[in-house]
Amino acid sequence: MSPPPTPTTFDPAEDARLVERCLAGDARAWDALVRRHERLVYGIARSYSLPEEDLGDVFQDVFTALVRGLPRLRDARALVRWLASTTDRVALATALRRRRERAMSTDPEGLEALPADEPWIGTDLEVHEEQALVRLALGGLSERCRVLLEALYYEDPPPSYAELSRRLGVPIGSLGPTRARCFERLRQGLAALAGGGGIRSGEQPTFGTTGGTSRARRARKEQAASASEETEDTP
Amino acid sequence: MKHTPSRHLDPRTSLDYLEGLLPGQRRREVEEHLGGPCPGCHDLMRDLGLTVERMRRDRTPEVPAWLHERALAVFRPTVSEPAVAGLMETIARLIFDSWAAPLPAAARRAVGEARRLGFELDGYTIEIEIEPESAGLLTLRGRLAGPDPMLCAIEVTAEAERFIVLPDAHGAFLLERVPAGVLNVVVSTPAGHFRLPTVAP
Repeated sequence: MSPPPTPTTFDPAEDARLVERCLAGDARAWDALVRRHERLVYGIARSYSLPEEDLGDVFQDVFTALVRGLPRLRDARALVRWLASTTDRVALATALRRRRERAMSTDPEGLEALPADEPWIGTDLEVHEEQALVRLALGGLSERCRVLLEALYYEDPPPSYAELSRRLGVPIGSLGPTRARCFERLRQGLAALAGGGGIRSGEQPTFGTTGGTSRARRARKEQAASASEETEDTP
Repeated sequence: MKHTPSRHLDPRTSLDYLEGLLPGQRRREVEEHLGGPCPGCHDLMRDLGLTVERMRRDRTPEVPAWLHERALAVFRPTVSEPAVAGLMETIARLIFDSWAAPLPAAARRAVGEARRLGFELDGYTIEIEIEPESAGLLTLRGRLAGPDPMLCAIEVTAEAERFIVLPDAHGAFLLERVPAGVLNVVVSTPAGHFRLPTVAP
């Protein structure tokens, strides 16, 4: 029987510490902060099927806005919500601009050429936010736990227990109990994240918004798409 | 139906159930238990199920290195040597203050209540317009003139709140909702850090 995985306490204040170091000019902290959250930005931006060039611009705009907003975004959950919402707005504006450009380039009358039933573009932000929080909690686990859970739940198709046993060098019989213990720690990390305070007490961010239901967001997108107007709320 | 504590679900059994790993008899026992009034087990199963679903549906690939680099490139360290940063700062020289030298009438009409300040740094000049918003807040806008303004950063501290703004390619910058109070401004340029003389309200 292999020893249980090393317990790792998830630290919900990690983002706050990284933000403090970024504000003090620490480029390594910025790198770490970007690594923690870039997948969320990437996932949302990709859902708009943007060309690579636009994807790069969205990425740059979102993280430029984050640099400006750092003093007010120190909590993991608030950061995730803000990043999701900001990426969504920037990517949506970019996608609509591209759509208009395409229409204008093929028809001098321009916007009238846009079909009314063009497929809905965009993504479900709440799903992305929740997935980002799970990844953050996963990042706080011991390496062994993280590798095990990533293999079981992120690989497609998941490896067999025999393959996992070989990969991790543990008896196959210990995988089930280890997985359950690791999952419990993951849930504890998620609970710690859920208990986060959000934006600094008594304050609102100077830009953007931090929330809204997916229905409200979807309605906003549909409205924007049908009007074919570029949103003006980029950071 | 009687539910004894021994039949409550544990995380391992619940995960096995969700993944279809339980043998038939045990699976039926779990379903039987879930069919009864056991809020704790219902919550556990729902919670685990949601988390597993979030992970299984998350198919976002690794972020390509070139995109990561784009994100890194927007950060410019404001203080490269924290231990000696104070010693490296140079005080910028005030060259203009509209409160001390009133603007011509035409210029006053253009800027309204705004106070305009100009400073000279080593190879750079910065003009700042400070305009009251409402409820004790200010808007700061201005222009940093000099080589590569996009490589510079302007840090404003007011009422213990710190704001950092990055000028655009033309050196223009804008900060809104800055608390009205004593303003401490540091301009970081490739040539060094420049602290502006404190701006009192």
